[in-house]
Amino acid sequence: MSTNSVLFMIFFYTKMKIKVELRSSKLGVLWLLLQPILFLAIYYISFRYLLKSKDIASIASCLVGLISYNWFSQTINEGTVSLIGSKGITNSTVVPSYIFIISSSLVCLWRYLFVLTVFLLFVSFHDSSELLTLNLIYLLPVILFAFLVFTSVSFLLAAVYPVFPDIKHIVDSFTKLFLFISCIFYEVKAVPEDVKFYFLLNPLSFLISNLRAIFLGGEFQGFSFVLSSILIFGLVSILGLVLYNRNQFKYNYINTI
Amino acid sequence: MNPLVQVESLDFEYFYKPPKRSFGLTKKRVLSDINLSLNKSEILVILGKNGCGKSTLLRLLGKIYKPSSGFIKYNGDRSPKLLAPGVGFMNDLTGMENLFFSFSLMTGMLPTQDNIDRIIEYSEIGTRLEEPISIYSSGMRSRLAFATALESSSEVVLIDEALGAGDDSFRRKVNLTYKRKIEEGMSFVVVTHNLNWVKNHATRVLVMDDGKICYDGPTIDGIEHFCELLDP
Repeated sequence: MSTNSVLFMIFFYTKMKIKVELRSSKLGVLWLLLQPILFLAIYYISFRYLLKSKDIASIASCLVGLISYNWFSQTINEGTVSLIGSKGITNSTVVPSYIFIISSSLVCLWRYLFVLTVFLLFVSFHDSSELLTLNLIYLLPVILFAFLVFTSVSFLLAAVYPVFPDIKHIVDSFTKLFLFISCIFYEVKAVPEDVKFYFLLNPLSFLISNLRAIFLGGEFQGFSFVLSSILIFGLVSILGLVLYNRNQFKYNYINTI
Repeated sequence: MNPLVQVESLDFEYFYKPPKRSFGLTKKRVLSDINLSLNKSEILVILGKNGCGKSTLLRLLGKIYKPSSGFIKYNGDRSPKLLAPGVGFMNDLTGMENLFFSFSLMTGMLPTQDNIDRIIEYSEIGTRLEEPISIYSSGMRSRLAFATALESSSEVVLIDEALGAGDDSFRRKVNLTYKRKIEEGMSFVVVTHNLNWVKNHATRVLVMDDGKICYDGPTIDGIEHFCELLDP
């Protein structure tokens, strides 16, 4: 398949998956609005009324973390099984199977951008003076960077999963671990200085703390962390590609599930 | 005349997880020392018991699987394509959307208006193409799937037990299409158990047993050879 055909297939498959997702429930597209609104409402009520928190920034801060964590967890979990999930297609056509990993990542990105937009409207509505203190232009490189990192991790896991399905259980536990080590319920400044660097090597922490800086004002995590993370996750991508290239023809006829 | 497809000394092994707990995968040889050729305007039928490697051979010819050793040489303009009716069909999409998606999966591009018109005419779906396929009858669904697959086929078509769909009249229509395509110079490699179809359409038969070709020759003798294999 030519590069143009591959790019076309990625976007066409993503578009179809989104269409199916929108039509698979009675309320269809309304759920895309209702889901984040309900999600935000639950956390707002929990923090504002149950925990008696009056600091809207801390609620917003947790929300940025939770929304981003959901994106991370969905990308990793859905990406890991994407090769096996598309076996019906790859067993009958010459469409390269990596298309389905990238497409699964793009569907998760689309959901995230939608929820993030709703979030942006939510925080702007509450207190516009403190919000959006940094230029929103930073949003693009931060999200793009996180997207590449998450996709490379899911690529590696997807390449391993058909030959070693037990990895799914490890992934489930590890994504839960990230809920606690990614500065979701606490600020990055609460992390001791001597381990702060390692905390920010976690791309999810990096994403969350920079989104907080963009939306809510605060310390923007520097370029050095991006470079370190690119180095680490560059290695993950290379490893994923090596494994994928070695096993790509096996994925169609491997019988592990 | 150069054959369209030539297979030489082809072996194929697949991997499976053994029933006992193990981290590794075990190899199993499915095909050994396969040699065959396919000429223009030929319907080559592969017969054999279940599990003898017929479908695997088709997927190797269609470049979906990679040979463990040996090689497959293609002389045509385009590689052989597996006829995959309904590949990628999703219940929540309309007939038209599924047509676009399935056609794209098989060809890597969007169908042209001519392709769409031919598929609509062939499938006899008419205006119901804008309805979700979840409300189609199984006959309508397979007619659309078949028409889309036929429209996206190349000069060598690989068919795995998918010779026809829908009612008798649609099956007759499909058989006439095969005949017309043969006259146009297309070739077919067909895996089927329908011996009546084989008798009427095949130009050559290949019988497989336990991953090896045990017969390659004229149709009638091939059918006899296959029957002996089933009931020795």
